[in-house]
Amino acid sequence: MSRFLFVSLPLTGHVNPMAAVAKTLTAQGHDVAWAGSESYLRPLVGPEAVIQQIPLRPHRRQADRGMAAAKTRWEEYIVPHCKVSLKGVDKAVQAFQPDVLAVDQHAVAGALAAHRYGLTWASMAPTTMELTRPYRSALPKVEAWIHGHLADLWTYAGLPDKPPHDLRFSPHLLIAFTGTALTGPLAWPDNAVLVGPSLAKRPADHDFPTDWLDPDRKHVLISMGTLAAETSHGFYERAVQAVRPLGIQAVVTAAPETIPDPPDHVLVRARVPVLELMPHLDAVVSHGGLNTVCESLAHGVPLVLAPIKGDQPINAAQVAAAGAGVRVSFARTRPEVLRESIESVLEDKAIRKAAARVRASFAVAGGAIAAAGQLALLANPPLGEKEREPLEGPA
Amino acid sequence: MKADMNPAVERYYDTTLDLYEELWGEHVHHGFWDEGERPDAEGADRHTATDRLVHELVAYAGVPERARVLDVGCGIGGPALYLAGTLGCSVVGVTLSAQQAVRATEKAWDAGLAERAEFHRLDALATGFPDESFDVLWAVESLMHIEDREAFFAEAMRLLRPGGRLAIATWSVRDGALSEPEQELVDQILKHQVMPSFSSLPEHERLAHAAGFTDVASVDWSRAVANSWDPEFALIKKPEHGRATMVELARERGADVLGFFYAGPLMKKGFDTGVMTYGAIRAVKPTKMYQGIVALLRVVLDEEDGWSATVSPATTLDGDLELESIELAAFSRVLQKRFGPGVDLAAYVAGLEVDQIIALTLGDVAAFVAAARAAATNAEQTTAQTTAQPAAQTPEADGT
Repeated sequence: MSRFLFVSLPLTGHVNPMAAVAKTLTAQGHDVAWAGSESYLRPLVGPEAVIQQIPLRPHRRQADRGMAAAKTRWEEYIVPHCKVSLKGVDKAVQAFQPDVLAVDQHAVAGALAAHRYGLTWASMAPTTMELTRPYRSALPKVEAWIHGHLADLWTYAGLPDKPPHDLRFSPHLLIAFTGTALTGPLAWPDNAVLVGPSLAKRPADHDFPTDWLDPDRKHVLISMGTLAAETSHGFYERAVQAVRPLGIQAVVTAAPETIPDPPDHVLVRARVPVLELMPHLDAVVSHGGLNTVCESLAHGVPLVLAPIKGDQPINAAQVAAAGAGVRVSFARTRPEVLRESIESVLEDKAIRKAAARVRASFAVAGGAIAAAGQLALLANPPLGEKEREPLEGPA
Repeated sequence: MKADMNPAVERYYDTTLDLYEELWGEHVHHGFWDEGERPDAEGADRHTATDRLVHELVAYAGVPERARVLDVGCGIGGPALYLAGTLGCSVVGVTLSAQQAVRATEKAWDAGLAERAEFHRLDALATGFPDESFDVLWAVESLMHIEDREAFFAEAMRLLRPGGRLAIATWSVRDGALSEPEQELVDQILKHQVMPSFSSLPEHERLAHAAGFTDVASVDWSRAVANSWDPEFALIKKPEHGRATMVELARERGADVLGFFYAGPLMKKGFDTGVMTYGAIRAVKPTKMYQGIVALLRVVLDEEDGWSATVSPATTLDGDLELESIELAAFSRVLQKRFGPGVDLAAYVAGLEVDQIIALTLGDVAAFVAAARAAATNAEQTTAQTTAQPAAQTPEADGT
């Protein structure tokens, strides 16, 4: 049995798929620990998990959209988070003595610790932001700017010269929680394993009024993440207007005050048990975060996607290309267009068939079990593969 | 009543011309002082302050040297002669007062600027000048006399060339509703000054926007100009303007003329209580290229007709429009289709740094497209010339 240290970020969408993998490894008898904030991680990783405490630090608010969001993601979040957590990750490595590190692509401190101690490690991609490397060819100066940050962090950690490779990509293994049905064949890296969605059973939500759902009507979940009123661009109003004449029921994940006086066919809840709800859903309207996209498609539920930032536009484009959903503009889509889009994912047989196709491919990809298997393999390579050759960096 | 006010304005300025000139010199408008600066009781500072206001407006609105300027409400030509003289502009001044036009013309002759400054008795809304005949439309303290301000901005839009600038200084009122006594004060001022109404500075901005102007901004100069109504400065209490003189003036020129003497105390009260304000407004008529790319982007984004008026050259693609990468790519393809393969916005953006991408505006895109198109045209001409040369040499080659 082997020892695995998970290094993630205090972001639910990032922790959830990794937590499913960690639970699988634990169930298989491996020793697993997390390096991170006890208060943040505990509800997500379960009462049994071992946590090497790194206190949570507040970060400045990030920009909401576009390149400004990309800039603040690095300058206000990834870089400062790496700097403040570096010592804690180091301590966790020394205390836990892992065989393998499982490191979120944006938790750069984990990559630096792996290099410092010469550990075998895997990069985990809970978003598609880095996986498709959108900036590499389209915006080379943006890509160079990210490499500059990584090089600075390398130096900050006291490591010599320059990073030997892109620190977002372990030379040993990359596990991504998506599937080739969405991404298409990846050109790089060679060591990427796409395991599909990694879902763990979550605590049941007994408060959710399941009996509100009328079994004779179709159901749509509208889940746009946490949107402040000033950044929601009236999207909820437009969405409520869009579903009004459709004779369907809509569950909206939003703070109740965002949608005052919802009509009878709209249920607004601050929290929604998405996985429990999935079997009842006919379509999902979402900003296109990878978790929502994968959770929906793992149930064969097609999507209308209105991407806002980060990897969401990439996911939306992939879903549209796979034929499993429709993409609309978050800022600009009009209620009529949104209504047509919802109608088409509800009615169009080709779209529903494509969503079913993605569900099948996800089922084959193996999810958390496949990811756990890959990590176990990394800790205990079969004979003859002990001396692993570091993989080449990107061309 | 609106159309009827012009004769009253005309009469007002015809009858007060000498009074204003004697009092304020050639600049029939407010002066401009720094915070805390006091006007000189001797009046020595009056010209400095009124000159200063003209300089401030030139700087604020970005009036370029040697521009073709239409001066709406030119008075007796004070600002116009500065623009024509120091800045080398060609100025056409219009005023409703024939007397003012005559006096301004005399002054232009005296200053040796008659070639570059001409003055006409014309209604600013019906000048008959051709479209796009001016680089700058300059209006210092004349807009208050024009009731139909919507028409004023529309006419300014017509008369300016694309890229041309609007430079306005005007009396204004505080934005928002006024109390009854405040409204009474305003009505008194309007009556005595022969003005139909005042707009607030934000209202002026809205009107400019609605007319299609871009880069619209205003600045509140109330505190900087308020000294103009200081009794020491305004010199309205001079003995020769005593009661007997006023009665005589009224008999000679009609009762309207007395409004001139009421202005001081009323305006002082207006400024002191913050009801009356004063400010400058600047705006730019969008270039054809800008209008063209906005029209294309509107189609790409599937926006409604009114959308174009909600953006300006200062609108950023990343932050304001929240343009997604696929929308940018589609915009780039449409631009390429319209302006030729040399105009590759996607490639241009690919060459930008993170901060440059965040700061990229519609104005930048218009400038890029114009430059890329010019470069492509030049390259074509060069190619045409080089390919033409061997063709011309062919007969020679044949001959040898």
